[in-house]
Amino acid sequence: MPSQDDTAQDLVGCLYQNAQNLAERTCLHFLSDDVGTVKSFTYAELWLKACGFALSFQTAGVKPGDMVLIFLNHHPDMAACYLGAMQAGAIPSFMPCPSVKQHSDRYWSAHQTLFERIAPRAIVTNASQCQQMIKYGLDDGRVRFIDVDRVEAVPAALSPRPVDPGQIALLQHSSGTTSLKKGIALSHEAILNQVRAYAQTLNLSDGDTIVSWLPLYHDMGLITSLIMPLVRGQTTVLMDPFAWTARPGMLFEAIEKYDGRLVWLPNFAFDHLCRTTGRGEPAADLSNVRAFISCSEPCKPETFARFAETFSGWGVRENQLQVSYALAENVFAVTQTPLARDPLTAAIPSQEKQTGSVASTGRLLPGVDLNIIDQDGRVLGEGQIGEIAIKGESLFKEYYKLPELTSQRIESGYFHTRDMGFLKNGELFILGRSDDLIIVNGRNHFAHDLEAVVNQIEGLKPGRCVAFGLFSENLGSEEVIVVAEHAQDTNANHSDLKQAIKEIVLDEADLVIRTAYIVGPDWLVKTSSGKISREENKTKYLLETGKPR
Amino acid sequence: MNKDDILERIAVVIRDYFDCPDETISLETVALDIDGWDSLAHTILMLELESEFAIKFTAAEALNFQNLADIVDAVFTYKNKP
Repeated sequence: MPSQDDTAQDLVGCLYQNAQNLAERTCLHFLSDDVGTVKSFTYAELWLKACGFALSFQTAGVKPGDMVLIFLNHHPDMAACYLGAMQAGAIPSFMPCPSVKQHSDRYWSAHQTLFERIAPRAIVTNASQCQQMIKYGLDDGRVRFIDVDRVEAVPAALSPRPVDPGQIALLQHSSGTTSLKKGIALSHEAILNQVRAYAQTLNLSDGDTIVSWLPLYHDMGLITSLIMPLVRGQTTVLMDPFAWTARPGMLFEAIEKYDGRLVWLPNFAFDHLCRTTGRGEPAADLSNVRAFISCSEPCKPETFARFAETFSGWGVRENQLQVSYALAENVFAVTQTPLARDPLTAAIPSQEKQTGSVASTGRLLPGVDLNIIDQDGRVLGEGQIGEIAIKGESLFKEYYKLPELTSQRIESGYFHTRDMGFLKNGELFILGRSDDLIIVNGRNHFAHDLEAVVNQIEGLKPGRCVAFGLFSENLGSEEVIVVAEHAQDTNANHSDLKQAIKEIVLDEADLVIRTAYIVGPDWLVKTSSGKISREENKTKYLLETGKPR
Repeated sequence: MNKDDILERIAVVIRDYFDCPDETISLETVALDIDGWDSLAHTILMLELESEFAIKFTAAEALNFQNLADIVDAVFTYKNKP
């Protein structure tokens, strides 16, 4: 029986309908590190567990419109918890947990500013992490901590709570520096519009099992591997992102074991698979995959070529390699290449200083309107490079509790993405950014945010550091370099300062930078307007260190 | 093979993989000491070490090494298994 998503007007209603109509269908497999199933849920079971969480939230005093933050690594109840928050009328948001290499004290302390702004009413986590959060000052007396392992499913299904489709369903937090994270507020209506448009574009069918290692706090994981399949009544196989990083081949094992048909990956992941799993003999049949879809960082044609060649013996064909341009402010996808078509590239228009070719990200999804605009907001024609501005049925409501930022980015209904690109034959090609965003392994980091973090370090000259990205062909992604001037009177040696920079960026922005380069006072070059120039200092760094450009 | 020998062979692999021939590497060395040693590079380094010592780390081991001493201990255990 088909899912009933076309009649429900909100996410909770969709899940409830699927729990009624597709009760015994498996919706989620949570995998262990050896690709064995830790826990599977049918649609009926997921609903019962979600209702259990909804009752826990209500008992804890969570009211409609309250914020619920979920700090869980790969946990079988993370989806039920998220949906249970919606059933209670609250607004859930998945948040990243610290890795073993991050300092707990600094990691959790960095959340204080964020918590003060968004005022979460409840936090769902496990017992040990809860203790850490309280220890490092995140219990303001108002927030309620809920231990994920102490919540039981309800014995009988509850009815879904009535929801206004226009109200905020969830917050999608940006990556980057913790204290500066932006919560992208998405309504039920916008999300369902996206799911319908994207499912139509992908020609999604019931048998399209999705296999994913993507973290659910990232829009690519949340929408493609949780929300869309749950609304559409499909099956998703989820694995632990940390475990995948250490053993990338488990993705292919899971595809074969569960007959996976759709996989979303950032560009770096294609390269990571080539450099690791590609060393071995073919160990899985990937020929039934409908598409490996590249998004969340620029898709490199050479990465696709490498992936197709490396895994040709595993059944990979070029026409399985597809691209989407996506951003959380549009829920997810803006464009998608047609499935089963070979990758398409175009030469970069001559007005740009870059040369070479770029991959098409495909055509617009239904319901999306897109303009390429110049610096004065004038709409440019085909083949002309400018900023991408979008509007449509899936656009976000606001940056949560950041009204000024929202109004800066939305003009006349169009969201100004700051991504640069051009249209050709109706397809969108992405070239880069108009601002200082650095995309590392699919996650966004603003250079100025990283510089603000580094500026806290004693022994560095205040305000005298610069962060920039360098694309690594080997990694298929950007790496971050920080150049910082030491203070005139510091006793700290360069090695200690370098270590301090790496540690603070890891703890506060969850990012391992490539290197920190310590220089003497007045090394950094300023522009004529007196600002430190990222571009000129990047060039100076490359010249001084002899790194290839 | 004793732990000093293992450390020296691991140091050679690290210096070669991360292109840092002059890096001082000791039991206390951690990933942040070496430029470019992030979680992805860590996975590839583990593969290099598995190849070097003809062993296979478990995923849990590979994820939880805190410093070089942990890696040396793990290799030592594998190489001295009866």
